[in-house]
Amino acid sequence: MIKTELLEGDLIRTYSDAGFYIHGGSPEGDYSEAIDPVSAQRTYTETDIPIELSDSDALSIITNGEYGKEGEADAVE
Amino acid sequence: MKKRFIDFYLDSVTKGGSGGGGGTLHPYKPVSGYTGMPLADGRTMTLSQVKNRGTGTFWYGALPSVAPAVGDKICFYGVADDDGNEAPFAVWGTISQYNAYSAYCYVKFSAYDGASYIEDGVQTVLGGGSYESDGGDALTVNAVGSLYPIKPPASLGYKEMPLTTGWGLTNLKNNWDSKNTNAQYKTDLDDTVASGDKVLLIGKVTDSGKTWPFAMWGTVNTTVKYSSYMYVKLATYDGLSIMKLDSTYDSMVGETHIYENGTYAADSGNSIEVSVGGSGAVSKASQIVDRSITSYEDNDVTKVGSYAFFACASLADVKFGSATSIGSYAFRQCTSLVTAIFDAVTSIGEYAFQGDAALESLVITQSTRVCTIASNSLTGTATAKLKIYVPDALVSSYKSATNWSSRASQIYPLSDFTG
Repeated sequence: MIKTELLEGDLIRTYSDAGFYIHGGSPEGDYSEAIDPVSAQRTYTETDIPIELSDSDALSIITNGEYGKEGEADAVE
Repeated sequence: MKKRFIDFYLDSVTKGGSGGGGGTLHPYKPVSGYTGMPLADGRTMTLSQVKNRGTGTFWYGALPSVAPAVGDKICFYGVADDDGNEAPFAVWGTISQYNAYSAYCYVKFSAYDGASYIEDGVQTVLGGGSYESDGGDALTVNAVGSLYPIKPPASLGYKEMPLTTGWGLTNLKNNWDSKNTNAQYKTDLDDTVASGDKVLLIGKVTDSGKTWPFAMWGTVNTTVKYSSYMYVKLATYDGLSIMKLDSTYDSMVGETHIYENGTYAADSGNSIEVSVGGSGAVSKASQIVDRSITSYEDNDVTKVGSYAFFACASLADVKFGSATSIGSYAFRQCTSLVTAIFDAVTSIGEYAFQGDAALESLVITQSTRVCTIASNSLTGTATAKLKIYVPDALVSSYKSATNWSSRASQIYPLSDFTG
């Protein structure tokens, strides 16, 4: 679903709460999120293109590689 | 016949038959233009015949429902016998002869247009074109080439170890970027490998459902060994190559990222010399740059790839005359970058200039249209310092454009640029 939130400076942030790229804007294109002047009244549609950072990737980045890695899960015999 | 399970790269059947990935052993075949002919049951072709592709070779096929004529285009495919091991293959071209018997037929080719085969877990595709496998995979090869990842020469003494688990692209790159000594790489058991050894890890990396090959090499930190497999941790990361995907992640283009200095080669005989090393991902290998460079100008490259200049800490200025797109992370952590000039750019990718706190001038001179930019492309730059110069006629458009609007106060007419 498309979500919006107002930002300082009469700007509005638009994004997909499901983690997909959104389409629209000016120039028209696919954006992971879009920040526009409120006055521009731009609209966006949600695409089916997932933003590539996965939860695992995010966790790995946030924890500096401690968690979320692949290939470490089954080192037990 | 000895059965060997083949893994890696475009296929993901796991060694030892322990499952994995729903992959396929199907070789790549041309998408269109050739009539398929499978190898006849009970008949054998050898991998050397596939590699040699002689015009005198008889290819024994299953009887087709419609007999082909001389001059027809045929794609002959099956599983070859590679010294007792299985080697899926396909060859395609124009046939010069066709004979049918009760249970099989044979064809001879007057000309071969291409071939693909899987040997030791690596699929090679010879001949440019668009390909697909019965597994639903798709592939585009821009030129005669292979899908071997580029590797350091054998003379450097890296012991090759195939990985038995795949890696996500982000995780692999994070390991590389951080030189993560705690990451564990699972391989088949090799009792001879010990701390301090130089190893070359060959594996597959996946992202967004796509899979492609990589090679990463370094020095062993520690190993954990079990009865049939082991884990390797690296103390040093000496190099990484990943087969390049196109920007849509829909096809491979037969290019390779190289992340360090050196001269590299692939098993196919392809080679690449990276005389000044670099971070890869620029569209032409010869234009991969040294991380220690202080200045870079190019008027030929049409695309600055993802991570192209990642962490080039001494890079102070860049100028691209023809690049129309800047990939994700392209100049991330170029902490000395002061001036970046682009004469043709129309899109700037995610985190392209993230962390470039010294950046003072981002100059976009093309006046055809407003360039698209991600909301995070300039994250970590100094708002008070960075000025964005755009064609005078487009200043107001930029100030209200998507993701530029939050930096409206930093946007200036190109005529003000004095650099």
